Amino acid sequence: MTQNGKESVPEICPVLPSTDGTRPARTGPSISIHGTETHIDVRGLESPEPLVSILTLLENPDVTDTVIVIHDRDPLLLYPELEDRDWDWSQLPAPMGQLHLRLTRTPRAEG
Amino acid sequence: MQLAGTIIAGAGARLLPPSIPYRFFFASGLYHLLGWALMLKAAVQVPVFQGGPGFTLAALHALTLGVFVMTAMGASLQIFPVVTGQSLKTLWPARLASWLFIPGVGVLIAGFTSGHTETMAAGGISLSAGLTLYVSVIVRLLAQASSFKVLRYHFWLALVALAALVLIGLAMIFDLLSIDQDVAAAHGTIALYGFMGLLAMGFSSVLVPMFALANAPSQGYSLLVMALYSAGLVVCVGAGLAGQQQIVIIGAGMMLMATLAHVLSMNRVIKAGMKKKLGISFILIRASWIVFPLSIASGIAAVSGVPFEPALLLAGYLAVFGWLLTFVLGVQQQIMPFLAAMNASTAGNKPPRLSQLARGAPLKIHAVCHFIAFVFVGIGIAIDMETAVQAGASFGLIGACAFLWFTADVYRRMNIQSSKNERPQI
Repeated sequence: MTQNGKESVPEICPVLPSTDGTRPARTGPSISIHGTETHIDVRGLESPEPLVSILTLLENPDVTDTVIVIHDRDPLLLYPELEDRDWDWSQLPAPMGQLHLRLTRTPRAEG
Repeated sequence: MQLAGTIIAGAGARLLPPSIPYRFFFASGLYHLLGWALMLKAAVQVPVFQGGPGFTLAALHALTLGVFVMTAMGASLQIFPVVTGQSLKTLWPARLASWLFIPGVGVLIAGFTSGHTETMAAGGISLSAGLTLYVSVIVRLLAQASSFKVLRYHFWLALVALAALVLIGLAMIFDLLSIDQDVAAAHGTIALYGFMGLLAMGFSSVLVPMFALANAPSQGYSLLVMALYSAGLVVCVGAGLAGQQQIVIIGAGMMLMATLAHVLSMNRVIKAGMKKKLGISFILIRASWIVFPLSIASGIAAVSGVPFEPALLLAGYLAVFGWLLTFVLGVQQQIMPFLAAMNASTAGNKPPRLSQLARGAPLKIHAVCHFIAFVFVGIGIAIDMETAVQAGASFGLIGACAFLWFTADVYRRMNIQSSKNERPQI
């Protein structure tokens, strides 16, 4: 890719930059319930722990119908898994360096 | 606050243009094909191979350098920036590394087939320069990363092994070392179990949990296994060069224990994984994990003086064809669609599913042909039967064609998906 005669790197990476250039090391996800929503914060976890933590939460029978994911990467591998599990997703406004997703359970078609 | 989607477009960390990893994957596919073609040509020499230039050595290097190292370079150049969140500041070193390494391997192979020392030297220098550039790129990335300790430590040790094997290899080409069997065995052991083995174990610690959707084994356990394996390798190579066969067996025994521990931990990861249907690639990967310790056990038997002449050659065959080739091709068929999905995704667009990017038929053909080839060539070596090697190499060749078809198809589908995503949204 060339811009103004200089080589540049395409800006389409799933890893988001943190505001201070560092990533805090974490050992597990932070999960909290806010009314009818469950929030899961997986920032700072090493791959594939965020993905596994989110899917484990979604497979919990007691989880709320809406889950808010706070992430520091665009979790490309998560989306097909959500489809397989009948969950829909949309992106929410988020501070720089974060990606917030709203996951909602898709009602299964009867019959 | 800002809208999601715009965040992605402004992301600091990077994906490489697909042409960079894919040039390594295509080259790997072509050298895979060449490796089997050379095996077919060398069929009569393969069961009695004892080293030295010729078609067998050329076939061996088509696979080790042309497939194993080539795939590792393509995959790591793309995966390390993504998993560590560190970006490549500029792309020219990675491109120059490919221009030096990819043809360099071909020239070295041509030198081995012709026995022409100057050609071997030209190929060796070109590929060593390419490898040095590649290493400098990866070292710069890993030096800034703080996560993925297990992968990083394996990679650092693999680089030490790489430096040792390149130096020994160049010294052999330039006749700086008297080429006896111990030196050639040290070069081969460091290449297979040091550089490639440590890379395979390190990448497994990240990729297997990622593909199986499971948490990785504990860091302490993985690093302990790595330490035991590396110590065993040092003992094994050192004692081999000193001609101390009993100590070689102790070193190989340590490696065998570490290998079993590694394989068991990977098996636990798969069992705990949320993804149960892992596809053909994991049939290959799991088969390679059976052959990995088996190759070391065969080596121990050969060094112990088991009364079976081709024991040492069979141990090497198990390591190159049974373990590493099977493992690398298994991982490659998972990685290529995975990277293609990332490349085909753009901000605000739904990423393609991996199944949209990978066709199953070529992989089935490849897997069947690969296992038949492995068994036939193995029988050919064990009973010194040229026709069995020829039959095996022919199946290998068909399998390699199918794998190249798969590679081209993933690349084509990725481009189709990318162009769909580039269309303006109405």
